[in-house]
Amino acid sequence: MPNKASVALSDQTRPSALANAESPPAGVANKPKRRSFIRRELKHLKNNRELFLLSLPGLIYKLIFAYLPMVGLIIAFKNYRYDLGMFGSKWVGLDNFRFLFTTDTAWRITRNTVLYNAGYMLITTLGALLLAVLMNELKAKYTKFYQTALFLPHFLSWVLVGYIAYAFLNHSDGFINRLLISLGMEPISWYQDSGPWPVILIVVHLWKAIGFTTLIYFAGIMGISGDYYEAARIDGATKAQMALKITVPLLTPLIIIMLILSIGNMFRGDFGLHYFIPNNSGFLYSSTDVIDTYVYRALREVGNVSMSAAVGFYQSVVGFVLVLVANGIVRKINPDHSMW
Amino acid sequence: MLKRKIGTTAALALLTATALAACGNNNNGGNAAASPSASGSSPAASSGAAPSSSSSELKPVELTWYYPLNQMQPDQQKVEDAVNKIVKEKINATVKLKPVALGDYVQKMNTVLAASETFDIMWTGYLIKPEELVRKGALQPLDDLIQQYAPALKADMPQYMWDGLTVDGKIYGVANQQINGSRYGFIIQKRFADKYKLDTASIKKMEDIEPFLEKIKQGEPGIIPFNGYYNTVLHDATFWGVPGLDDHFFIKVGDPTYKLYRYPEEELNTFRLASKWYKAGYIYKDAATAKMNDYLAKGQIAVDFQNVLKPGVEAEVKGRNGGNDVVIVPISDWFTNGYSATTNLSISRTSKNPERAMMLINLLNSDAELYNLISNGIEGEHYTKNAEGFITPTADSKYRPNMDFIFGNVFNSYLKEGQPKDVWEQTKKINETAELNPVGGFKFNSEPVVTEIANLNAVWGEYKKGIQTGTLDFDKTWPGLYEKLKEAGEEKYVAEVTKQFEEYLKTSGLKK
Amino acid sequence: MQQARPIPRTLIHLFFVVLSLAMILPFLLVVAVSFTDEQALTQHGYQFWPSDFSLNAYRYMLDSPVILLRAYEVTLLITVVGTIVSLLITAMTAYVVSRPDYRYNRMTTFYVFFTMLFSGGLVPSYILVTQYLHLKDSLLALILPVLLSPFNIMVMKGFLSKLPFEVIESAKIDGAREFKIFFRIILPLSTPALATMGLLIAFAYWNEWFNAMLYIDDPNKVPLQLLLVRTLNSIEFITANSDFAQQLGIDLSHFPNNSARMAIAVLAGGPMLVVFPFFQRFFVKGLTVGSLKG
Repeated sequence: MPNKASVALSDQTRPSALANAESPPAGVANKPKRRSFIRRELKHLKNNRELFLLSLPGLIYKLIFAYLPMVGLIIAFKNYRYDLGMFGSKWVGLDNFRFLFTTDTAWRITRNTVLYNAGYMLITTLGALLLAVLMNELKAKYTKFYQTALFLPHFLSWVLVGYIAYAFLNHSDGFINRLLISLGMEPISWYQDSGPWPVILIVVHLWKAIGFTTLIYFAGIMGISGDYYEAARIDGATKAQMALKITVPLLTPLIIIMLILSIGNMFRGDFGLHYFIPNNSGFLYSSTDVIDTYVYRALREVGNVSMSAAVGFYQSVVGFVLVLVANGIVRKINPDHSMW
Repeated sequence: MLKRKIGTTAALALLTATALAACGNNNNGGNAAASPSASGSSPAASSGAAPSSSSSELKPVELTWYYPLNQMQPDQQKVEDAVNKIVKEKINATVKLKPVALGDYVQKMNTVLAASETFDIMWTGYLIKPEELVRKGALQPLDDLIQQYAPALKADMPQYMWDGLTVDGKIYGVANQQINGSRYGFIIQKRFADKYKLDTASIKKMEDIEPFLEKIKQGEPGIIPFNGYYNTVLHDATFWGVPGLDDHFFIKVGDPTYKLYRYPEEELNTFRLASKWYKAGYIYKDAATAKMNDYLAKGQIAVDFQNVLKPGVEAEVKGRNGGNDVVIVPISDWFTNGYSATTNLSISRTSKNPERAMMLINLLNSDAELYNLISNGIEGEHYTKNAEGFITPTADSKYRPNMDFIFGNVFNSYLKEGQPKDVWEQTKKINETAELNPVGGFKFNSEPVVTEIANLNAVWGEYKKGIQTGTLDFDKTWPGLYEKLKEAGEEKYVAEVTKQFEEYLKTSGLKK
Repeated sequence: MQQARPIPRTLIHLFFVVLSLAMILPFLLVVAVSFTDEQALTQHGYQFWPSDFSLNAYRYMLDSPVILLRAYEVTLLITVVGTIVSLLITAMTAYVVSRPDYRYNRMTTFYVFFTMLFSGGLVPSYILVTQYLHLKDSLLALILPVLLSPFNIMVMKGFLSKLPFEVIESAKIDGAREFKIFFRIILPLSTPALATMGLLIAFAYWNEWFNAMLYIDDPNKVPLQLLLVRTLNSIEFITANSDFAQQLGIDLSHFPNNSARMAIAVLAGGPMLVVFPFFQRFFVKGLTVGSLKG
């Protein structure tokens, strides 16, 4: 029995021990090194096999449903014809990407997409953390109610939220303008004035997303052992100190994962939010137009599979690069917290 | 040694087998060549008579048919069963009807086509143009099939309709006949027309309605005088719009050189008029962003502008106008751009039974019982027919697609309550006598300029509403807008269009 | 010390009550509109209190109860089956990558995460599902394509990485195999994480409509949300393509009106409110390590 345990526990140290023991005498060809490398790797596989098997269903699933279709990425570089299919259609290099970069609007939509996503990311994270920490202070029966309430917006689709937003922002009889008039102020033409929209969109996004994110951080907090708090209380720490010195640091791995996941989508605009809430009003495009809404408008009547694929590819590549950079930075600071 | 021998023998065996198989196929192919129908049907098919007489010799097949619907109907299965009774009897086939929600149709069909899925018939039309599908290799040419299985249909429809579905010399769809002309003008609420004694005969141009709008503005504070120009004007006394492009290319009526005009002053004047009317308060100040249909439904809009004032439209739009009666004031005669492939049935390249599919299409366009079954439902259950042959849908009918133009020849439809008794005769006459656009047969191949078109669409998408409603002052906005259009590739697009148009003029003999 | 706490707590409650109101208000509007008479809606617009109470919208929906019931059945089935299977595999995969001593830890994380960034797109997935897996018009087409989400796996990893490693070590010393550790120790310990993830997965399946739109033609296999989204999409479409609609006489008055759309939304989203409390009972504070010894 002890043998097995020592094998498992000293897994980390094993490789180096073996390597030292098996360094070949000088002059002998590389073959023994390669053979011992393979042998070493097989031994590692044997040691890790149970965990590997545990992860196998997930790996196979991803292979079939994600990696296999990835072949379709080539559509972005082809002039896709229905009768020639993926492999028969002609290569056209970067032609399908051109429409994204040739106009002045390209800068505007990219800027909007990035700024909004950065804003959503930061504000939602801060807000959700705050709410999760506060909720942790309350008794379970109250948190259940608040959590349910916070989650309600999640169930309404963007189209419906668009109808509701219209009921509020409609110039002639929307709720907000009616309120303004009753207060003696001038009603605002919401759908024609692009100024307030960054704030409006961030508020609406927060409203819809905060329940989700708060739930995740709250579950994270549930996982923190009560012992830490006990010890801190004995030491005389205040609630605020406990939140800052225990909760947040222990949540850091989770927070970093969430942030990196968001960074991967930095160039993907939230279509539903940016299309339905501004009611697709052209006057607001300078503030509300993002890559996805622009592409929808441009390709709607053209129906071009290749160009849509090109946009997706572009968004993926940029997201990928950003994630690599972000993960690299995290790894430099604390290797335990980076994703890989 | 032995290994090589076995290998050679195996290879020889394989070769022989392949050769035998190929020969066998050729023989079968040889036999089949005599009659193009894969099911080897009798010569009755090629005699030009209705194919129904040979149904007993046809093998049973299953056809799949995709089409869009406003809403899914609860009794869909019931109607499908009834349809199949007729179809089985007439052409020994069963149809799998696959209705798709209108809002999803384009995306779903594009995916189905891109995956080269096997199916037979699909509806094509304004939203998913057969031309584009042909260029991407999705549809199959129908000339021979029509010749064989629908010769009466071919003769029945005016030639220009077939021309409208012709790409590179071959026909790719069968049109569902319905009103094919356009006539634009005003739809005015009767109560206001009467109150202010509007002389409808005096209105000949758009500007002529201005005094009436002013009267409404002065006299009816809660009413919006005009709804805005949401529909493009493609023909008047001086210009014809060139079809299949972005509605901003024109030629002059009667111009033998067919010179191409882009954004002519006359078109721009329409927008200037909109600006003028917006400033004068005739157009609702939030028209660009508000949901104008709400106001229309409340009956709060006095004058609406439309470009298909078909016979019987008064009854149709009454509901839309809050239940108020309307009068129509057309300011153009009937005209048509040839056939712009508004609603057709096409056959997929992947169909395994194109002949049978064509037989079904022929049936839908000629058999009134079948057509009305699928358009209106089962008599007695979904609608009632009165003594004169007018039908009324039953209350809470569980099958009421209301999309007659999807299924086939609309002229075969039973008359609906409220339609004039000779509505189809009237419509047919309009179709035949409408002024025909001389360049209606022009088909543009957009492939060389997809990028530019995409960007131009995006730019117009931003400004369209504002300009059509006059919210944006046209003269102030146009220079900036035009700059943006140039940046989006306007010049390259125009050059390509001009080039293809000139070629078309030569090949069609319009210009020597 | 004891004095300082009650005051902040009431403040916190106040804060949450206001926040909850902001969340609930629009939802209340939806419910209110669903109970308002359509004529009244046209005249007075959306009101928080129905200007003219009417059950017509619901009557319209419940008029074809067969369709609605079937849709509930379908949605329920795919949600229950999908959630259980998805939760299990997600937890398994997430656990494996959360173990710092797993040699292929970083590789696997990258392997999974990469699929979140790059996707072949709609067409290849469609071809895979319909032509290679032959799942067209099958309920599996609603469950499988979204079974494992990289986001869920990564977040779950975040939850599980907080489990004390000593527990696992001591189990190994006792000779337990990895499977046993996972099922006997890890799963019970991570109940809050499982409940949270389970809830989110259940919601995702409940709201699923896109795959149904693509793969389902049989009206008996249509899930709940598709009923709603189909109608809304078509209405949007006609509004945006008014030229086309006019030419062909398609008319918005043939569609379910405003109140009916809201009714569909309530019917589709409502049941989740019942499910929520069921999961919440598992959101208990973390068990202390001490409670596991023995």
